[in-house]
Amino acid sequence: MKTILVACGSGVATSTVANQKITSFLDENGWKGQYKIVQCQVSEVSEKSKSADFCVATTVVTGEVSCPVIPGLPLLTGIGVDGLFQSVLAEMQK
Amino acid sequence: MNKLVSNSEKKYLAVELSADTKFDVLRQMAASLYEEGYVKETYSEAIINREKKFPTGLPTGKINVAIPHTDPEYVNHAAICLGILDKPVTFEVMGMEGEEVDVSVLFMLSIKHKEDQMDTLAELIGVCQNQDVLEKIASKNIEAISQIMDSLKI
Repeated sequence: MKTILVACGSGVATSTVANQKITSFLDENGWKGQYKIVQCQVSEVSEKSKSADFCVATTVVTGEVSCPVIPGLPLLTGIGVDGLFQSVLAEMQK
Repeated sequence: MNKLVSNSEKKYLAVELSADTKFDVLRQMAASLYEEGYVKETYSEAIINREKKFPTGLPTGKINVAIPHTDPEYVNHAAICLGILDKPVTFEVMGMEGEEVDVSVLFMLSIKHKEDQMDTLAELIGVCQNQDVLEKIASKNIEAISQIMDSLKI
């Protein structure tokens, strides 16, 4: 079971869109039931990353982070989204 | 600033404006939401501070967009203000430190009930990813703008 942090400034707006898109991608690719997503504010990433496998963030993540961080911007622009999903898959397969 | 469309039933308005800085853009658009009663007087300052901390520029292609938003405490009613700039203004890119993007279309969100409005945001992101639709918006085609904004279910 992988734990994925999905973060934005407030933990509500753009992280919800990112969460939806990551969930449909993973489910469509056979990962349903093998991960859980924790949506949070970017200020919580440092703490929550201790128990997460990786993080997708739509804002800059600062402070000490204990897991890999993937920039979530392509989920919003649509540009470079295939590359982002490849990074997500690579983390899932670790 | 000139108002192109205002639809209080569907809770949106569209304005065309000219500005030299992103903060001027944000101030003018926030003022138009305030005039219509959608947001509180404090919204303008809140949206500027929020943009400084968490930039919302999105490099979406030929036409780049920004989606400024802030917390529900500064808001009276859910709404979206569509802003079309006479000339592009530089914003910082969301989540990418030090990167900039020249924005010509903005969707300023007045978020009241977070849970209810996330479908709207997802639909809006769909609009931002469609350059054909953005071109219609940027060309100030009123009929197209009304159709696009009507479809958002704000």
